[in-house]
Amino acid sequence: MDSSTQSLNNLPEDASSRWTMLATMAQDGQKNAYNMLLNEIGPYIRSTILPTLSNPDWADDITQNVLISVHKSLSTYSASRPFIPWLRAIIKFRRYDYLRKFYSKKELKKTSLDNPDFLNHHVTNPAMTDEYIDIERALDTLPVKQSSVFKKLKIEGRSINEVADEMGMSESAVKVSAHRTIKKLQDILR
Amino acid sequence: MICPKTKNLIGELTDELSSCKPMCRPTLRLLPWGLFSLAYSFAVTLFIGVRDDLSARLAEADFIFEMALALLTSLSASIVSAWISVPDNCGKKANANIPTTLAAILILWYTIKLFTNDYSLHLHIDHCLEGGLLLALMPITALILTLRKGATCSPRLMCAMNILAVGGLSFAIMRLVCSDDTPYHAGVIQIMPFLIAALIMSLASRKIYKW
Repeated sequence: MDSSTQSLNNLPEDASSRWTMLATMAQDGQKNAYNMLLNEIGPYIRSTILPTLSNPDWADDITQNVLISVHKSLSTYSASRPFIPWLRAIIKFRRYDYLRKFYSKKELKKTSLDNPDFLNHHVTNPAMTDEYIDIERALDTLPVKQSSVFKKLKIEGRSINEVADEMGMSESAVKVSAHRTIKKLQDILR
Repeated sequence: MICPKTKNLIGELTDELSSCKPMCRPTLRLLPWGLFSLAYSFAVTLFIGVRDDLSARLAEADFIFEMALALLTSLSASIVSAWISVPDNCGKKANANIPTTLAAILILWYTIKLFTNDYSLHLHIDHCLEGGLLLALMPITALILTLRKGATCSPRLMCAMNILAVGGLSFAIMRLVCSDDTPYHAGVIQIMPFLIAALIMSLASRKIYKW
């Protein structure tokens, strides 16, 4: 058993000290330690950014960007400082960078409420915030049937066929109802 | 849980790993730049030539005050630049208030002088604009090249601090070579190039400090 393997077996339980030690070993060129570090921080990065994103698919992209950044900037880490604040600074920077690039795409600015992906891409995770509260209040002011069609179609994500069958309406009536609801919501929320 | 693509990436990054020496303390890393900038500024001062009334002006309190403010702005901004050149030192971003405040006091000082004295509008730009650019060009390039080796998470603030670091030093040196101390000249002509450079750099900050 070589000295690097012995060191890997004697790592502390506490994540911060453990990652500090692994990062220091990675700076010495120990690939086993580096692989272990990246495999351990990967889920940490993902779990840190996931609740702050509206689309969970982005979490993997940002995680990969952060891992590449960690690789590029490994020499800027100093063992005299804790590892987690260093990592969190990179996570925050890359998350912001990713979202800034995403939202600056021109075609996204043309998106309307008719686009079924709109809510997924333009609001943060509803579980974490009260972003929908204005829309919910506006929906409460509409007739029950109309708001029910809208909720099933646009919030629950059901197809026009399914909604038409459930509500006992024709497909075109469902489309017209949803369209009118969107117009009314736009007027109320404007 | 990490996806297979991320697992592959981790494998690739592990294969690419080579040993790297941890960077020394940010302020130490900036020391060669400081020495170079002082030597370069000294050489340019000799090249342009010091002002005739320098010894008389050095005995005046307001001149010393202006010089001290400019040099302190430069020193504090260069230290903040060094701190924020690594990711985890972003916590020290609040220290950027020190050079910013010093620079604001300098500008305020010139504004007060402008309104409390009767200066004639004298905006000659024959030598000071090019002198200021000559003084600032090499230090700013050297500073950016030095700090690009780090990995800043605040590119805009970094550019602003770079401008204050180089601008403060160049402004102080310009006071040694230019005999026109009027607020119109010192406060406008000699500060203007740095304000324009700051604007350009802030727009390109993410590209300059991309990593």
